Amino acid sequence: MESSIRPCQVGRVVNARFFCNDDLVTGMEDICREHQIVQGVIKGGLGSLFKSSLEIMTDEGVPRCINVEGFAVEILSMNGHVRRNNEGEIEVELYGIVANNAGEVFAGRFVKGGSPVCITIEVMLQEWLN
Amino acid sequence: MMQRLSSRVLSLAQHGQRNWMLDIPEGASVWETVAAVFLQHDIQSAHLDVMGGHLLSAIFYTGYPDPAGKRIAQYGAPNHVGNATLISATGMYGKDRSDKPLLHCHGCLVMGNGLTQGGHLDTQQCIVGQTGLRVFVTATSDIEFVARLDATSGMYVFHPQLAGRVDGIEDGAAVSADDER
Repeated sequence: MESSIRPCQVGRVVNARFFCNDDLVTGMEDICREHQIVQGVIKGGLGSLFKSSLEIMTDEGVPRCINVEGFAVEILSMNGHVRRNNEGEIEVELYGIVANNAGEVFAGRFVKGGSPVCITIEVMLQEWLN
Repeated sequence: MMQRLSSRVLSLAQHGQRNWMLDIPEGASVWETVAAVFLQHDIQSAHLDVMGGHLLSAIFYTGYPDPAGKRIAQYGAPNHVGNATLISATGMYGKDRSDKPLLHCHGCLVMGNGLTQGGHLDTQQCIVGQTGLRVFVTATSDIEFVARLDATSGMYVFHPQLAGRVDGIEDGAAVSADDER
């Protein structure tokens, strides 16, 4: 990534809820596709997951996954952004903090396909325009 | 052509938002302050980005599988916390099934012994400490979150809907207000 800055303006705001067993990151990308949002900020969201696969970076600079198990893994906070990848497809990069059934806390980048929704997730997303 | 989506996510997009910065003073309940201020400024639906700060006391819940198997999951016993450091919290403010204000909030806390824990916050019982608490609020007026029955879980959860839309209340739903999270 190269250093750059450009003026932007805020576009639409999206309120959304996810359903049981849908994947968190895939669902987020679906929201963007449905509303044709190619750039934006996931301002935040909360809810519960059956489990969560979180990517963290090791000391060796190699990513590895933490698997947080337990029914109703709570999302305590999350944020991320929407962009086009090198192939021009919409991609969501999402980070967050979750807690297991004992309230123990874990954090990292949500791996696509690794966080199925338990009961619900509520999200607000903000479109950014060039 | 409409693209086929792989998830069933429900979403509404609208232009227009109002941004507020809310400060909650020491000794105040998070819920009491938010409810009073939002009523005063006619904020009916919003996302709350709660900054870190000191809490004099808090109660949070974590989920676990329902041993009776009637629900997908349920909340366990309340976890009572004394002095704690709030790292961050996220809230969604909307309406319950009776059209009354409802705040769904999860947060991450560090206890006095250094243990980091978190879960669903009972914001009525979250009392702000000496630092005060700052909340960045993004309010929407054309779209809102309203609690409606989720058929899968049997719980009332937030659904996005256009503001001013009046939906029928599910009379047959035998779920207490305590299940609105």
